[in-house]
Amino acid sequence: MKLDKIKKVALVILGMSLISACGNLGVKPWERDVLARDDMALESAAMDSAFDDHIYFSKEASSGGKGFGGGGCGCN
Amino acid sequence: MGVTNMKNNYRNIRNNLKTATGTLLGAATAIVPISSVQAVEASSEWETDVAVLIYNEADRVSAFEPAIATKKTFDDESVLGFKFVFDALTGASANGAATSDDVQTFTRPSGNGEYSTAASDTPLDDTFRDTRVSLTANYETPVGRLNKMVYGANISNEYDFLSLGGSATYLQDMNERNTTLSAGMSFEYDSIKPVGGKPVPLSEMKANTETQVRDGADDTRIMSELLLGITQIIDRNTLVQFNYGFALSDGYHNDAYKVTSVLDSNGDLIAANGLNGTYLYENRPDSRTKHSLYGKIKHFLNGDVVDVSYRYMWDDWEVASNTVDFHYRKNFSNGFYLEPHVRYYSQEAAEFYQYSLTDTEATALIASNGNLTSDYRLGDMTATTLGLKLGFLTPNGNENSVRLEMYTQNPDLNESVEAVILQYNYSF
Repeated sequence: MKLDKIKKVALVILGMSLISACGNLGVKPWERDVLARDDMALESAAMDSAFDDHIYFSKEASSGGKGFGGGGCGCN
Repeated sequence: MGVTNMKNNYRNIRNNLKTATGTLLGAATAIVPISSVQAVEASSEWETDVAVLIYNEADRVSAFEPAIATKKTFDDESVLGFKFVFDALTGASANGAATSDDVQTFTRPSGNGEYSTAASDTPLDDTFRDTRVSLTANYETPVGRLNKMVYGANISNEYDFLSLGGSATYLQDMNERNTTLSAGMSFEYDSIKPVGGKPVPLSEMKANTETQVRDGADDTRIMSELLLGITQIIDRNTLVQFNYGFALSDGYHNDAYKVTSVLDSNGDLIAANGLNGTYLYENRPDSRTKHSLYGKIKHFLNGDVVDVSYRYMWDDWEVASNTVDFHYRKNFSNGFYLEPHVRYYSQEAAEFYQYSLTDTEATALIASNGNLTSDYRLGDMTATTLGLKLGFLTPNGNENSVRLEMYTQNPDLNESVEAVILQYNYSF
């Protein structure tokens, strides 16, 4: 079990290092037209996302991952 | 140039400023990193989103939740945002006790009055009623040309709960702004004041005609969280994000309204304390350490947007969960779009989760002051969400959207819970 977790963490660290080491990934400033679209923002539906986080935090044993919550609730 | 054209041009510039950086403060803030064309950006008007959410479980909890969020970008590229959420909750909530072939009676949390559950029904406490107000403030400010800080503060209050929190996140752009690294810390202080006071953990529920000894009126919990992230632009149409989160909480973790049934060797109720069953108040550990790994890919595909994310979360209660989330935004002309959404969630139970106990198990657990919960939210469970969102523009160009989703929980040993989520958004 513990080894599994270590493996998972190691895999992610490796993945992150590979990505940060790959300076050739990415685009030039003038190639950002698509990425600049509102619907390509990482959090393109902030309200939906906040409501969902609150619902799932209240109904499941998991929370977090993508950001900091906005003050939990007494429901969990 | 007419006013409308200027507005459109401004909007285009603003849109161009948005790059790949993630939202670390959850939905309250869209973090907009500094872009190479930022010098053109001028102070903006307040941009406001309003939304109403209706959440309705069949025969259980209903919530009505209006929210308003507003933000303004200043000349120096700093952004100030506020969000207010109101939440009215009513309905019935599973109290943790097992179903039985007999009618069961429970004392209300206040100690005044009782409620009954018919044979074979899931015991639900129908006194669940609360109102929550939450206020969030965010401020992001450039530090240098390629980095910035984002600060957040929040307060959330309901009848039996108060939460105060703050966070600070540092973001660094690199590789010609194709990579953004982030590191954030948050703290939260919760004050919990259960209706009727804190039950003594592992004590037996007593009839409302008897005296229930309490373990004080209120308690606290402190949580701190670390979040490390990397966002990487892969190509003109693709970006990815990875986060690692570590959260530590210390203090009162019990749900004061949850109990566990103690049954005889035949699985039947054992009458005690003026009730026809025996029920122990739960006893969760007083600390919890959680880890999460989160990854997300956004890809622009022939005019549409594919958004896929995955989270693996595990903790020292031995809860482990997988969450897969998929959105496909099909864009049509004039700002109209349809967006199907599928979410799948599965979790492994906390090590101290029990659907019910035998009297022998209960005696041993009490003697060792062991941990215990029968809250199905900490049991083995899968859950699915299926939804569809429809977005369109009003004639003046403001964005609207409506989404309808079905959320189904399938807990092991417990009855399924089905909920309908309906939400309307308007931005101006």
